[in-house]
Amino acid sequence: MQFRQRADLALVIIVLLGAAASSAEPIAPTNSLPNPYRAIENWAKMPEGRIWGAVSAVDIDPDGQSVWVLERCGAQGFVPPSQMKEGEPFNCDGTKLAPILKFDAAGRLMKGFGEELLVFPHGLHVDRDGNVWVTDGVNRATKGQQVIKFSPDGKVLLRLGKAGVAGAGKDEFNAPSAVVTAPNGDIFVADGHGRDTNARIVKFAKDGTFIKTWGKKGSARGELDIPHTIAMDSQGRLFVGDRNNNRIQIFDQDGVFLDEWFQFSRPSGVFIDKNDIIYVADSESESVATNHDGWKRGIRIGSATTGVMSAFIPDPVEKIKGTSAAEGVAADAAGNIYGAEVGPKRVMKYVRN
Amino acid sequence: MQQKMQTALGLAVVAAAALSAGQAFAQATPDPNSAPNPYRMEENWAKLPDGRKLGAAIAVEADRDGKSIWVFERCGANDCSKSNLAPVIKFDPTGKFVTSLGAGLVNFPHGLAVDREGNVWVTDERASNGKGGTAIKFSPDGKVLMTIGKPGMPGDDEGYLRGAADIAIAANGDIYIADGHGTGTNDRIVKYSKDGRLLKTWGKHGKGQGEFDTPHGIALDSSGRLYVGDRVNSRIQIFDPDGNFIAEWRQFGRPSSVFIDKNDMIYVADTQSDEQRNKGFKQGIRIGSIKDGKVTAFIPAPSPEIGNPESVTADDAGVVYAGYTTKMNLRRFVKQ
Repeated sequence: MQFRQRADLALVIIVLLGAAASSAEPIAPTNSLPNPYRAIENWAKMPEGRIWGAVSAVDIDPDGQSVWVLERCGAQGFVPPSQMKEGEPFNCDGTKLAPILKFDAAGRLMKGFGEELLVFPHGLHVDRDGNVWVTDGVNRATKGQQVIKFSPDGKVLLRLGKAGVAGAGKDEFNAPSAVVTAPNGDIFVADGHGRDTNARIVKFAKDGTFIKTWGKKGSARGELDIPHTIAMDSQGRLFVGDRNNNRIQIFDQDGVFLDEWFQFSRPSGVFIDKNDIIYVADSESESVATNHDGWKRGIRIGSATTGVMSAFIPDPVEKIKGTSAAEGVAADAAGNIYGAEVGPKRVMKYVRN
Repeated sequence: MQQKMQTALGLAVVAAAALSAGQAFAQATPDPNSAPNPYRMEENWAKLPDGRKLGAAIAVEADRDGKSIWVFERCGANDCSKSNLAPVIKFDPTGKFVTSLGAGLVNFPHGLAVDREGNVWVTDERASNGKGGTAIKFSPDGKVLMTIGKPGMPGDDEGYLRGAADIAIAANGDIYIADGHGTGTNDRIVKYSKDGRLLKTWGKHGKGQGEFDTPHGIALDSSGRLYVGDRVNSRIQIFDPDGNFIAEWRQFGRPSSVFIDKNDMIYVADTQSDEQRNKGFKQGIRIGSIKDGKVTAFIPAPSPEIGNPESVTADDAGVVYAGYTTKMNLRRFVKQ
């Protein structure tokens, strides 16, 4: 009883703080927070003869220190498959390279897998048991438009979506961007990547049974425009990086809208650690995005509980046309931050000064 | 029961031998290079097919017939990554070319072993460009029967290798791989079952017992004990089949290659000893019995021009075969 009262009080405080930190109206850019981190480049080493392609996602192993990286098989740029010759490799399609790579804390490659299974690796999630979930955002021939669950040693355990088919049905995706799982095993897929693709969250049970979907294209609360990333806090709330609306939307696991946050800028990647510290990567403001001027790209860090920000690692690049800085982000148990960069084709490591 | 006791006895003998050899070495053998050389060197023994020349001969091993010799060489050069030549070559006792295998499958040849069924196992030290960095089992006619490690993908995790230097196959088919070759690679022994299941991994980078710094050559004796040429640590470490440390031997020098014949004679090729790296030791091939651990013969390098072999084996008649890497040669040594 006493506990319950306290919990209720906590909720009230959270709601109040959340309301204070967020606003339905766009807010002034949050560019002036301290940056207590220094960057380490070339931290992770590829095998001899293999070059880094676009890196869209990164996550931490349950061991708290190993780093999983999703790399697009050496891809140096993006030409849509429709503009490519038949047989020409497109990202991972047509290569024999492993896009899923595990590095130890020192940047040594521990293992790699997923060869010849993916077209355009996009989202990465390592669950509590160490299984590795990947979304594949583009279809080509009989591959792509799927979410695949791998065991820690690379065995395919589950496939969601129809291979090679883009769609909006219960068992289909159209450019799935990201995936996250709940402690009970429920699966949440951020399905869509702008233009004519989907703009929704799809929820499945642990075994892949469809449960529900919510969201449609738009800018109102509960509507989405490029649901690019998805994360879960310790209370089980879902944080959806609603990228082209330049906000994070927070939902419960039934899809009930809880809040929207603008202060973390335009989210390409959202990561929440065990202590509910939230890390948000903006790779597009004042570059790819045309609707978010004045905001600086980089990684914003704060509390997923209160929404209050504490640090900002800015992209050293000022203005640029393409994507720059981290698109995917994760932090290990020691608080080191990893940024997956699509444009610069690398994984940056940030350590506290 | 009896077998168990025998094994225990065997272990005790080796431990005692290690101890006594160590003492003998410290007290009675101040010069580790003083053992006699009863061998005469023979040049140009092996004849390659027309148009083919020998590259760095990083591994040699006697066939199960006890007289033919398998050679693992780096495709006429010091690298196979861009070559279509078959790097594994078999010669008959007269040096005549018999067969070759492994074309296009290996980047950087390193270790070789022949099992009791005549299958040939090799390790490729370098993973690059989607191939290599593996251990491969070939049938005697060159069919790939098994691959351990992931081609082109080095790693530390289960099923991966990084810098695999050598391989040895036990009587029961168990597979031992010396997985590591210096900076940035692994420093461990991985043991697989005959059917390719990982059984055990031991060792890490270091100087202590059970730690390694470039486990460059491995061999098994008749009791199934594993002898690891822990090169940069200038010692051989001896383990039981479960990876328990038994002894370390320094009297055989700084080992690049270790071979043990059917009579438990050990042959160790030392290509690196010098005043900085292993003071007091000269480079060459040291030969002894594992029963007492004493060096009873030493084949020194006769001149810098001839060079010094990095790999060594012996046939059933006691003829010693040596592969040269920097000098890209094969020679044999016959008792005078």
